[in-house]
Amino acid sequence: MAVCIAVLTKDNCPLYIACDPNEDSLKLHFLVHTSIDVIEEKLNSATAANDPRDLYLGQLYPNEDYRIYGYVTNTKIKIVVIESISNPLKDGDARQLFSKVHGAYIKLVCNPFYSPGSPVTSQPFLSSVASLMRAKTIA
Amino acid sequence: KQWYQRRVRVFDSLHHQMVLYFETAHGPDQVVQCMEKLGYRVGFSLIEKATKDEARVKEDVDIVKYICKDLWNMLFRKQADNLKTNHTGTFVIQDNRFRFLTRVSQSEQYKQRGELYVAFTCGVVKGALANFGLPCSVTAEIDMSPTVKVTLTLQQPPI
Repeated sequence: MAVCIAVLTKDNCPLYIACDPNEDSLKLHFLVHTSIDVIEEKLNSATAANDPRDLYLGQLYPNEDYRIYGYVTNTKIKIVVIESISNPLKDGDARQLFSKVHGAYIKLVCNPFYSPGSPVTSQPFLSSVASLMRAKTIA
Repeated sequence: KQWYQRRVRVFDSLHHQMVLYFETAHGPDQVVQCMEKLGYRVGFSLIEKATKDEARVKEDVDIVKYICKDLWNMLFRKQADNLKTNHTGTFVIQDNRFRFLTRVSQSEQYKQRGELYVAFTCGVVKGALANFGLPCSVTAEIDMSPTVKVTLTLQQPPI
């Protein structure tokens, strides 16, 4: 169960951030903001530990309370997922989760009533992200 | 294959009607702008969908190559025939049998109208590149129909 799922545009502006209501959302927003630097560093590093052509970036940096995972699409949209430390995500699960968030974002962009970059009000997107956050295991 | 050909004909007719509609509704000088705007949004969404499971595309040249191969394949079921660059941010994509012009006769009479039929595709390319993070200006030249040359000028110099 994710504590926070965030989607950032190519200019690093927050497009949509969903936080678990039991947690301090300000702290989570701050963590998402700090993870942008780490993502940029990973993207630009010449000697990437991962396959540089992979979209999934893995765990971004260690933190006492949370684990933060990152993913960047080919269109420079960044997706950040924050999990509590007691519930670490396995690699396969994380990839699936990011894949589903990416899929929800694609559906949002293909919606002709949505103009890219504007605040997200599309119900299907909001509800699919909410259900991904609640899901205990990724089906 | 027949199903595909029917769909292609439907889209060709729709495209033709779009040109006629904008001409009557907004005047002949607005057609190119309107078609480009439409194409922009289409290109934007297409690329979002198409690059979902692809490996990361890094260099500007790779992005333009992607446009020539995969995007052209998606739109016209064939790749672009030629790609030239001057290595300072200008690329020229050449298509020797541009789909929307293959059925237009090659006489002088229809030469100007040919530009209206390339506008939508220019918009698609522009939208696709914008979504990749490469804002650019896109123009098309038709020297000898149905050969079309699409010129991309990247607005920032490539790194």
